[in-house]
Amino acid sequence: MSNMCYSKIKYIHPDCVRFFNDEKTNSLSVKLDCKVYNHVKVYRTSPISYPTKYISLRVGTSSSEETEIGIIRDPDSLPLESRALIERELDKRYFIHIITKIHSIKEEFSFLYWDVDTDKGRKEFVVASRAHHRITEYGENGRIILDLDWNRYQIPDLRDLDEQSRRLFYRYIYW
Amino acid sequence: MQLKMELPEDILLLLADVSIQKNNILLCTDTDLDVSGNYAQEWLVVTESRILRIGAEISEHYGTSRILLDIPVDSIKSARIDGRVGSSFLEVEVDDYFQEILRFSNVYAQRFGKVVGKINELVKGRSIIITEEDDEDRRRCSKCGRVISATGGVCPKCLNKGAVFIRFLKLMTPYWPTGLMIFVFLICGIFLDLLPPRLTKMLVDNVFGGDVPPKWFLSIANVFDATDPMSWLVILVFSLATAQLLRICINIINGRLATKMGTQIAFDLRQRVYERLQELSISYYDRNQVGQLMTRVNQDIEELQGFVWQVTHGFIVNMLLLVGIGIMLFTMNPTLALYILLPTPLVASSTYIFWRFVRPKYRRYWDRRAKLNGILYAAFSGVRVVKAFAQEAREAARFKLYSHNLREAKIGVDVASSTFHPIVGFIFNLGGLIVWYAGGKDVLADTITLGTLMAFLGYLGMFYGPLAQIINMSQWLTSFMTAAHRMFDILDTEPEIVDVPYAKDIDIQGEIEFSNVTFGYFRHNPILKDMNLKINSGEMIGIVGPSGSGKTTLINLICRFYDPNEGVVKIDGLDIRTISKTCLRRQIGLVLQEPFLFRGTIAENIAYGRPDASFEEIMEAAKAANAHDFIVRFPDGYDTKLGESGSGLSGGERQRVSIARALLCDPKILILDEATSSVDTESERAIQEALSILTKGRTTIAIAHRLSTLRNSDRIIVMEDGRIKEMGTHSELMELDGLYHRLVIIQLQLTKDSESISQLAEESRLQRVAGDN
Ligand SMILES: Nc1ncnc2c1ncn2[C@@H]1O[C@H](COP(=O)(O)OP(=O)(O)OP(=O)(O)O)[C@@H](O)[C@H]1O
Ligand SMILES: [Mg+2]
Repeated sequence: MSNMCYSKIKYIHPDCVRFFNDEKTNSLSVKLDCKVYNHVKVYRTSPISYPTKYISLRVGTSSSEETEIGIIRDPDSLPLESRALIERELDKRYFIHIITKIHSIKEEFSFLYWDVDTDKGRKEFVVASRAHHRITEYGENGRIILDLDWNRYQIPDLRDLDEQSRRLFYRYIYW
Repeated sequence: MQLKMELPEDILLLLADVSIQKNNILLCTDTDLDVSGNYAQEWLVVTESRILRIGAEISEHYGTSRILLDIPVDSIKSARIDGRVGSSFLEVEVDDYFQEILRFSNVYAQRFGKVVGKINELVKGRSIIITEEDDEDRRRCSKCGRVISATGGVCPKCLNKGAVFIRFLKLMTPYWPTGLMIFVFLICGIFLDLLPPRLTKMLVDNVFGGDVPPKWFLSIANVFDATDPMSWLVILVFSLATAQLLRICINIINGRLATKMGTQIAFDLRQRVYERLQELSISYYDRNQVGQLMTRVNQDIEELQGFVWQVTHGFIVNMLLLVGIGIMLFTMNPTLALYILLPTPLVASSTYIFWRFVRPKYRRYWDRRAKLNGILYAAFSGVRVVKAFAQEAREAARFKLYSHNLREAKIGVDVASSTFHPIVGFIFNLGGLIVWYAGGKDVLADTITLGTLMAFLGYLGMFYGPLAQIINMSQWLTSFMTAAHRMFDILDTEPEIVDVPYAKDIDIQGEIEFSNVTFGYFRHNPILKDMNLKINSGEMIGIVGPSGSGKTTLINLICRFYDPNEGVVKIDGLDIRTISKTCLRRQIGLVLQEPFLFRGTIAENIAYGRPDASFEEIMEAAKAANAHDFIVRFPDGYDTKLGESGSGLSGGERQRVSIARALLCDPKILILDEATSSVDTESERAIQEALSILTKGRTTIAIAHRLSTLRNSDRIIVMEDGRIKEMGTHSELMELDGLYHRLVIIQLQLTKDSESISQLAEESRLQRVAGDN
């Protein structure tokens, strides 16, 4: 295999890369090995297992043309401003509510009505009950909940919830 | 209106500063997120020449609105929605990149899907027209704004519960004769239930106690010449026995009738739901998981059957019984009857506890059992993969985990029910204790007879059970309503692809035309973009293009599995929507990318589209598809039974059977989607030759990755990213030196490589032979 030519993941060395903000369009530009890429998008390759590592830098205007410039193993190895830029781009791609407390869950017909505290404030939402594919596992002890509009709510670790919230959760969701 | 909302005063002033007046605004709507993903109200304003976003600047002047973005329309090439994780962006194409305009959470997806359409109109130089229809959101209940699970479905909250009930009863009307019979027997049964305690009372008071029996009894007894307590005893015991026997008979008859009626209703409903599901368009199946649909067909209807049983055996009986017992108790002794009602709150709370704490445990148990079944199903159907990767141990461990979960749930159920039932038993007994005490006191004080006390105790035994069930009724009703509602939801779903009233049956010649067709499975994400294409009748067209470029999608539109979002698909110059669906599809032969065969014999599978085909025709079709020879070699020939989804055949064999199936219908339009991808080159050549004869006089569209397959085509279409990139004959395209040329070169390279590999093998063999000598 070693002498054959096949595509390999390109890992970006922290020293060979520079990040800067494109003022005009407020987007991310990356200079890598003397080449400049504009409108760079930033994806998590494994949002659940490695949420802060293995960040994929991509260019291209549509999904079929998109290509990867490379992967950053650990953004923590980058200077602070670069990290802030990556963080900003990640915030643009991911919009997730982290549930911190469950006030109530009510079941009516085949819907669950939730009233929760999240990192983005108190929210109410509706999930089809018994829709197993809408409430799925997230890591070891967490859950991802997709409401009827496909908005995302996450509980990173059920054990971190307070007793009452957890009990409410388990009363209706037991998979 | 959603797309023309009233702007607040301060924003209007702000706009006036940049010389935009209220009447210049073509479109104006709000969003719920700012670009960084915080909840905040921002505004989109579109005028003839500009697109603006207005919102609060986060850093300074917090709370005061500012114009955050101002883009001239003439710099924009197009607009789109970029769906990201949990939210989306409205973007416009300027220069060579997409500029983010604003961000919205998924709640607003429908609205901005429309906005994108409007902006694209504007960019093309057409004007923006906002109609009432743009306001309509079929995914939300028009009354309360709540999301509805299925598009156009019924909102559970606003659903008129009485209406569901009446509708369900209407469904029951065909069964009324049986229902009436059951009802009559029920009434008789209840009378028989009420009799024994009454007789016991007489036994105690009149036979043993020495009281004079009531007149009616004496007159009956006279008929039998019974004048002493001994003969009264015989009569009473005999009556008790008769009552019990009759009761048993009625139970047997009614049980049979109810079962018959219940299963018949379930059978009919299942059939109706199934037929409706078959009618629905493919897009319905995109939205709903097949597994869930199966649950609906099976489980919900089982629940309805349970409801029929509830009606016949459950609460009607209980209600009548309760009334009957109540009358008995209160006529015998009103004060004592009131005592009996004392534990009612306890009975009520016990049913509350059941529904709140015990039943969820049952549901957890059922769900986990279903999950374990799923695991088993996956592991067994994927057994080859499991073995190939030697992962038996891990699968076993996974099974153990879920099995463990199931055991935990089962323990939960058993612990809960074994705690709950004895406590409820005690509550029910409590009434008995009260009667013993309060009634006993009365007996000692000689205000009531011992017989009355005995009768009371007898009725009491029958009292709390039905009472608890009646209290339960609302819960039963809820679960029934849910099931009924889900069923009506399916029965009420209208297929999206419907025949127009004047749809015609025509004999298709085979000319196909796409004019300005745009289509996406989700409206905001077009897969085919502004397609224009004309295929002449009798032409053989090849389609190539990268994976995901929209080839199969194109075909889905020709078969009218979906309707285009914009533009028209025409066949023989007629809008495809004016041709009746069955007529259209009968004349299209389709060989799918993943051929699906049904359980049954090979002959049955080939004749699937034309069950009346003669055996010779079947053989002819198989021969043309180069399938005849391998079929004949099977011990059972054409009668070979295939398993689930065609198991028992190799991938290439399956493809050939499905080609034969399409050919047998003698379609005017033949569509082959990767139909020969799993067939070896030699069979492919044979099929090609057969096709080149068979395809004379019919329009053929063949999709292939292996370009050699398409060299006989009259024209080859090269697709990329939902657009036609190149079109022409093989040699024209080669001359063009574009994508097609590149693909051909790559494939030649690959075949060359494989040729050189075989050459290498040959050389080394020769060397070995030489070495041996
Ligand atoms: N039912 C569906 N729902 C949503 N998106 C779909 C659906 N079917 C296909 N797509 C998407 O539409 C795009 C085009 O798919 P299509 O099946 O037409 O590709 P194709 O050209 O036939 O590819 P291939 O050569 O791999 O068969 C793909 O990006 C795919 O993800
Ligand atoms: Mg395809």
